Amino acid sequence: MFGVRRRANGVEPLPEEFLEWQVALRRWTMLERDGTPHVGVAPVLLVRRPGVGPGATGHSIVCGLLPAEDVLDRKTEEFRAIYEAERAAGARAIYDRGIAYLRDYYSETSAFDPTSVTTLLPQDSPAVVALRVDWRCALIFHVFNDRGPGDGESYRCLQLNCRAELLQSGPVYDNVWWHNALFHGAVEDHVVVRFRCQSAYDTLFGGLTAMA
Amino acid sequence: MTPQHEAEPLLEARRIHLRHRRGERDVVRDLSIGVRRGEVLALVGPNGSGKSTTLAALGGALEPRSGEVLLDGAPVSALGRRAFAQRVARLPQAPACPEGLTVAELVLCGRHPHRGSLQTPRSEDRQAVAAALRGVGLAELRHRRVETLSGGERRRAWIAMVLAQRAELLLLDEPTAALDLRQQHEVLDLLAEVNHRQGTSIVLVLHDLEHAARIAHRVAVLHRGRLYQVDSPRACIVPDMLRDVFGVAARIETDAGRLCIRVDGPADPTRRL
Repeated sequence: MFGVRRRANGVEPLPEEFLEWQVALRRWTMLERDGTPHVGVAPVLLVRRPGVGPGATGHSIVCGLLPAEDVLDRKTEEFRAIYEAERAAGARAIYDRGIAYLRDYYSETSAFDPTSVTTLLPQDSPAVVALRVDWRCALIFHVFNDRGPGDGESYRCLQLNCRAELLQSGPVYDNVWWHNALFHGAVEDHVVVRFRCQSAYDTLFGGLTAMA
Repeated sequence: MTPQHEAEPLLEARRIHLRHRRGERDVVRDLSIGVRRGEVLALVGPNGSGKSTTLAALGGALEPRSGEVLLDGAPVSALGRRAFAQRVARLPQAPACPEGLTVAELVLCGRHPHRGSLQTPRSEDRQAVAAALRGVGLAELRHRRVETLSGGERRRAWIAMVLAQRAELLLLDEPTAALDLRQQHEVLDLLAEVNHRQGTSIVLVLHDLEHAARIAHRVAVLHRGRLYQVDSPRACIVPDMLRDVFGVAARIETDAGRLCIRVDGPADPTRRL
């Protein structure tokens, strides 16, 4: 997208370096920051502006990793069980129990889907409206590979060109919805956006290097 | 907490989702909360957290989009309005009063659920009105027209109307709003006395957390349309909650047995709850 040619419908694995970084970053977030998201999980989503030829708009989102297919339903049930067990006590209890659970959750990259990341957005949000018209989009991780305080590496910028799938039901929807419920409660009128990776570029803030 | 409070909830919301009429979003989501017999329960939270909406649903003024409200285990929706009002009295945040009513006439409206539509006031109605007016300190103003009262006096007249209803449960939305410092304390003392002497259950929306700590047996903290926590005031009103829900860094101190909140400034960073 945006000047880079690619196949129309092909799905490629996420770069291994990206997935390893995301898992490590989320583990650190759970252990050291009580779950407060790091900017590394909040990419800018670029979508085409409906009805306008050139041009795109950027939307800040918080993305999540999807459990690997063989454990997807089990993880969904575990999220749901935490929510239901603590629901009467309130959001704080759900949050605290969720954080405790997620401390062990982000350990191995193999436990996660290697081809996509997800988010949950209001169904009438501008980004969703645009994606209904054109599924082509890009996620810009502008602090790629930053691993928190003390990290001596210079910032890099990763662009994932994606095909967006909008989901309103199904196993992937349920998983993202219940995961989100641990932090934000039961939401309605939302859709899950599954970003299927099609190509990845390490932009190096000016350079452009295709990643494996 | 007395053993009386451990009974089943008197009035209970089960997994309610609430949306304003013509609203496009749920302003309260998946909320379960109950008030026990003889209990004072304070609903607290920032503006827009869903406190008044929740109170409206508990009072039958707003039907849940999903979930249900139960009075003694029976759906409120199945009760008649009169039967419900004989047991539950609700005072909204900004009630409208028809022009020309005197204070006594307004307070007498609280007796409506107990009277026939054309029935003249009975002696028990007059006694209830007189007692309520004395309770809020408006006995001498009973012949004044409501629109001539100050904001604080008008608020107390409405509270008197609710007290005259002699319901076993009062739902009060910011009963101390528009009152000066002394009147606020008088109203809280009055409500505490009603709870203590008559065993009346009370759910009240409060902005002042120190007031909530002073009067409530339990505090329910609402945040972004969800229940954040429900527990005793000392368990709920803690720095973590003030950071998460109100976005402030604060310390909790105790002065002569009373809880005091010392706000140091905005909290940063806050958890994304």
